Amino acid sequence: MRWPVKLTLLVLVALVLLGGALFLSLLRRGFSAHDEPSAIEARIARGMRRWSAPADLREESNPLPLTPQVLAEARAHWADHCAVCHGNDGKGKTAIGEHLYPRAPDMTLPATQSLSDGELFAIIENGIRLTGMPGWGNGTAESAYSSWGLVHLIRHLPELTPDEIAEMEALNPKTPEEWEQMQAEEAFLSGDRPATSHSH
Amino acid sequence: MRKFLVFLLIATFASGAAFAHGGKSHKLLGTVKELHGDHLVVTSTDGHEVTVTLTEATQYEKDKKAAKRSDLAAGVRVSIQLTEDDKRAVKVKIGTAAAAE
Repeated sequence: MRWPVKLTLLVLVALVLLGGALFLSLLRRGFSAHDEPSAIEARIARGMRRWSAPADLREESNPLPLTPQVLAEARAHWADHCAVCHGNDGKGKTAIGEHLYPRAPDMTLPATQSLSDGELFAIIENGIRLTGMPGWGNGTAESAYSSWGLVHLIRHLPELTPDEIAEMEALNPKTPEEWEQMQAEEAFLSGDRPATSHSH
Repeated sequence: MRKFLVFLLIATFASGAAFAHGGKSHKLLGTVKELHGDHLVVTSTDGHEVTVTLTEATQYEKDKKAAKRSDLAAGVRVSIQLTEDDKRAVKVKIGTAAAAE
């Protein structure tokens, strides 16, 4: 056997052994959603996200005219369905969004804003496989109306005002305990409750 | 096999719903006692004095509308959403002035 062939075989065996050791080490360590996705995973996931939109939707523009009512409905819808993971401001800084794998993205950034209207619509309607994003669509006109409205809201996220965020906070889903706390807070701020509850 | 898969699915979602290990921010209800450059002292509803740092990221709200730091004054009631370490204010909701008690 000539030496270039021997060297190639040696390198191949070394690579197989290294790969095997890496694989065994990963198996021993296990996999955690706390890890940051590697650059390769992020690249593959972005590619998959792009390909997951049906071809006829990819270049589609939002057919729903943008009106204050459409945007108000979308804010209410977002506050009720989406904010639990994405946050009212779309930045993903929530208890769930920050611990998903991959993390809920900051949707005000170009990585989301550069997607076409049709791609955003497809993501909302069909979800994204192997992520926490569910498919919300059910093929009805009502569903399409809501999803196109949400596409308008996603475009508006970078300019969301504090007043709009305050309005959405009032619409976020709440547990009975949170409702009680909210009512107690409002009673306190309006002066309906004593400033101090302790007695001397 | 199908039962096992259903169980696995339920277990997966149940574990997600049970996710609550992360730190949780707290709320402080009280009356502003002192207002300084980068912090304020609040008398909480249980009578303790608490110092809270105000940052550039702190948001202000009054009557469910965005407000400004200048809307804060000694004597007004506030509800403060704190960071996980209970030191910095994430959001300050400003209420009415507390009546003399």
